[in-house]
Amino acid sequence: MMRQFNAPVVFNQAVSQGWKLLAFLWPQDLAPPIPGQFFTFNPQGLQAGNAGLLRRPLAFAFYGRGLAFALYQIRGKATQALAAFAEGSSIDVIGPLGNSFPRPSAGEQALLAGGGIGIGPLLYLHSTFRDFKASEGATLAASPKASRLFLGFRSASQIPSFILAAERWEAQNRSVEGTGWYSEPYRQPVLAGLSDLQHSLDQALIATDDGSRGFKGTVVEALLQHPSRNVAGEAGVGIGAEAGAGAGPGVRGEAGAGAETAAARKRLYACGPAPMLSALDDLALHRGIPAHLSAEQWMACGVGACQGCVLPARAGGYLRACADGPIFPQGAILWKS
Amino acid sequence: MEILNREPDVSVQIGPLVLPNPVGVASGTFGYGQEYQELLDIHRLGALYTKAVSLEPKAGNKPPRLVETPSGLINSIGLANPGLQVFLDEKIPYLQSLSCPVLVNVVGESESEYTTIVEAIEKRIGDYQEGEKSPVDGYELNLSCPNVDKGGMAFGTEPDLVERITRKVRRLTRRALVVKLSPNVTDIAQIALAAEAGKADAVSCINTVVGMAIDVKTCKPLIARGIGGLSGPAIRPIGVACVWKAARAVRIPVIGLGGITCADDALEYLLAGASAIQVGTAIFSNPRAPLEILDGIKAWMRERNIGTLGEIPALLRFPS
Repeated sequence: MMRQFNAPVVFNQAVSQGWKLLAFLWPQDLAPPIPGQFFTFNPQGLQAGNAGLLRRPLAFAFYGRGLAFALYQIRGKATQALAAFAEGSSIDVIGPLGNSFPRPSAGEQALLAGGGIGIGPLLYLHSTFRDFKASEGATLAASPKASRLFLGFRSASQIPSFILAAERWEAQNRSVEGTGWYSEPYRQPVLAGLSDLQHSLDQALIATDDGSRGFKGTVVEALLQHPSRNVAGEAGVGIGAEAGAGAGPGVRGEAGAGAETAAARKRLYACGPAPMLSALDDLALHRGIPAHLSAEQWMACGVGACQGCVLPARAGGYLRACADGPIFPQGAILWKS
Repeated sequence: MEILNREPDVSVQIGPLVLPNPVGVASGTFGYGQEYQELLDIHRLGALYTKAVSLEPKAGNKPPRLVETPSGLINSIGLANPGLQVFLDEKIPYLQSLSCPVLVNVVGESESEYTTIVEAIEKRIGDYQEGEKSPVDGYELNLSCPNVDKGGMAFGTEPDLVERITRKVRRLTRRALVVKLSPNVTDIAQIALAAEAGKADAVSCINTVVGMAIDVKTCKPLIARGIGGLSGPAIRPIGVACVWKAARAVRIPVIGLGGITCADDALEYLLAGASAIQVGTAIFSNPRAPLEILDGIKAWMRERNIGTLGEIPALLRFPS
């Protein structure tokens, strides 16, 4: 079920250069969003005529303890308007919308790749794997040890720090008397959410285009070259791991007989700019790895009615990013049309 | 001043059809209803105008299909729809479950496609028992879509063609027949008169205004097809003027649309001579807009002691 509701904004703070994290209260009687889903918000405060006509979609970056989180980059007028939403004000939300990332099967290793502001849904997916192991009551390959998060950024200045944001938020609110929203019962859920987000981020292999942090190159290159570079200790967790090494042999190139079984044990999840998704779609095809790619497109309705947000389908015709997606399986979309 | 105790009568007569209230949802912005069922009470709508139905399925135009412009939205969807057969098999059962009137927007690439579609729908509706709610209460002929090479607007700019297509469809149905007009014409009154001559029960105006936006960084149009149809508040003054001109020219009801986002916008159209209105692009921003507009119209009527919608056009203080 989706719903339109006005939600109190409890957190709206900078987490890196030009990026902010939003948290709002989720209605108690509405099913929580799951990883891969998105919502649309109405950029109130913008008068029509100032690009304030259409709602804007945002992916969920985390959900926990009654709060929904979204990571966004201040890029245009609508995100500028969102950045100006004060904590304690109300945001007009429609959600949860769209499909979601399917769970990995037992025994599969989940490879998560996020690029730029597209890291949000991967952070959320990653956070659920910790619970996944517990709730399934079995040691699954999709537990955090076996899943692997690869996040790509332009440069180190873009990498969020949820812990610093939490510290700033605490300091800022301590100095302001009577800020109603910085109080129980919201303070602890916000801090816990930030802590969970940071926990996922801390486990990620970071790639930066300019090499200012972590692997120098794109997230796709990092995924291909891991673990031969940059990350020590864990054999066989990247796509490019040398065949035969460790518990999860990789599938580099024409790896021969072992490749098929190895490939069957990996599952790729990605969200990021179209060139990145295109490269990962090709890669997953060549390596025989199932992949789930989260697309971004301009939207008008967000609920499947207007046919505005379509992407060209490999099978012919078009698929709606909002209602057929935003998560598409490998091979579904012609990224380069 | 004495305030009326009773609710104002907001029903509207369109040929044989009585709309319970004047607020409909515009074709192309509401799918076939199902997409929005969780976001507003569709049963309370005055009318649901479906996404266009064409004879064959249409994939639509290459993306990007949308761009937001000042107070507006340019779209070039290209009438993407599943086609007549899927409409009959999969959409009609849902439409029958709705208690609001349903008007099917019909588009063709040739005159015969319009008649084939209406004939097929009439035949299918005939399967429903007497006394059962009909899944389709009327038709809106789309003679005004700017986003296709064949059909659509190409028909709607020629008065003779408009009259001929309307007349042909009229012979096939006794249900409400509305003709949707394009503002991209020299004189919309002439087109409205042609629809009236073809025995339409009403005209709806306006469809989108041809528009274009260019990205000065890439030097490319912002939608793939180059030009598209502009909707939203940017076109409201054009729509109000078109309704005013059409309503002065014809005796049949005029249904106004174009940029209506709130009750005041709707009242502009009603004062200009519209008998009913449609809400389109505003639904994207606020799916509850149609019902909020309905409540606002009723409140405005109560405040002014207006008993029926029909009294509103006479309130326009302007020489006619």
